[in-house]
Amino acid sequence: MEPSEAVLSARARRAYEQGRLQAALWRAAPLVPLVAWTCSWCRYPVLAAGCGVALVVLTVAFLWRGQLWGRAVAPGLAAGLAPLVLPLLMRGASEVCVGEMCCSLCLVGCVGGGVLAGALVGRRAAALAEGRGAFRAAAGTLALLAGAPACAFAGAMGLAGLLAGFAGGTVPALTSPRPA
Amino acid sequence: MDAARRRELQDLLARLVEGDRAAFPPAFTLLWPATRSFARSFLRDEAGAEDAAQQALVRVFLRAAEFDPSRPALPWVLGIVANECRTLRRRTQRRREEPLDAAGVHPSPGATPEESATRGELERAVHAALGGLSPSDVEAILAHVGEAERPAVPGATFRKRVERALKRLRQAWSERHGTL
Repeated sequence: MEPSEAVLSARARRAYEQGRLQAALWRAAPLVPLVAWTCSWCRYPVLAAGCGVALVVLTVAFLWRGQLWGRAVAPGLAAGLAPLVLPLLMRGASEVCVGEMCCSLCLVGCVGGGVLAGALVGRRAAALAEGRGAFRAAAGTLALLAGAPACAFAGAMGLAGLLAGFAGGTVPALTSPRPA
Repeated sequence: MDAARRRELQDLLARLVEGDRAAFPPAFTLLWPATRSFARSFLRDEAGAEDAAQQALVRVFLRAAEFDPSRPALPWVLGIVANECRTLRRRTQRRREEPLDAAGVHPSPGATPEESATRGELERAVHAALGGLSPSDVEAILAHVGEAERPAVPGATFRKRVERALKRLRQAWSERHGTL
C-alpha cells in the first residue's frame, strides 16, 4: 500500500466508524422519549434517569460495536418490555395472599416480568452456536435497565425480584444443548 | 469487475454492515481501484477524478452501515461515486462561471497583441452567444459579472435567474462552438 493510500485508508476507516456511530444514534433515538416517559411516573426519578441514560448509552455502544453485541439490542429491548409493563399494570392493585403470606401484586409483576425477560433472552441465546455468554450479558443488561424503573415501585424488593426472576428465566436456556 | 469480485464485494459490505472490522482492509483493497477507474471514466480528468474517487470512497465507508445487504452492492457503490463526480463537476463549472473580480483574476494590462486579438475574438464570440438569449437572461448575466446593475429582486430569485441564464448561455455556446 502506497503512503497516500494508507492515509486514504485511515480516512475511510474513520468515516466507517463515524457512519456506524451516526447510524447507532439514529436507531437509539426512539428510546429517549421512552426514558423521559419513564422518568415522569417512576417513584424514583433519579433511578429512572440513571437507568435510562445507561440504557441509551449501552444501546448506542452495542449498535456501534455490531456483530453479537448489535444483534443483542433488539431482543434485549423487547425482553425489557415485560418487566416494564407488568409491574406498571399491577401497581394499582393491592396485595395477593397465599395462605398467610402476602405480597404486593407489583412485586409479582416484577418477578414475572423478569422471568419472561430471562426466558426470552435465554431462548435467543440458546439458538447461537457461539458467544452465548456475551449475548446474554448484553441483552440481559438492556432488559434489566428497561424494566428497573417500573420495578422500583416495589422498592428494593422489586429490583431484587426482577433480578431473581431474570436469573430464573434464563436457567432452562442455559441447560439446553448447543446447536450444531 | 467480474462476477467473483462482485460476490466478494457483496459479502464484504454485508460483513461491514454487521460491524465486522476485519472486512475493512479487503473491502478497501477491492473498492479503491474500482472507484478510481469509474471516476476516471466519468470525469475524463486525471486530477479531478483522483479527488472525486477519494471523496467518494470515504463517503461509501461513511454510509456502509446503511447498506441493505439484500440489494446488489456494486450499483450502490457506483451510485455514490457517480454522485460525488457530478458534485465535483458542478463545483468546477460554478468556479469557472464566477466573475473575474470574485476569483481575484485581473487581465494583465501589458497584454501582447496576440493576447488582445484572442481576447477580442473571445468577446465577440460571447456577445454572439449572448445575442441569442432573451433580454432578461442577458440582464441577469451582466448583473452577475458586475457589468450591469442588479435588479431589485430577492437574492434567491436573482441566483435562480442567473443559474437559468447561464444554462441557456452554455447551450447557446455549445451549439456554436461545441461543449465547454
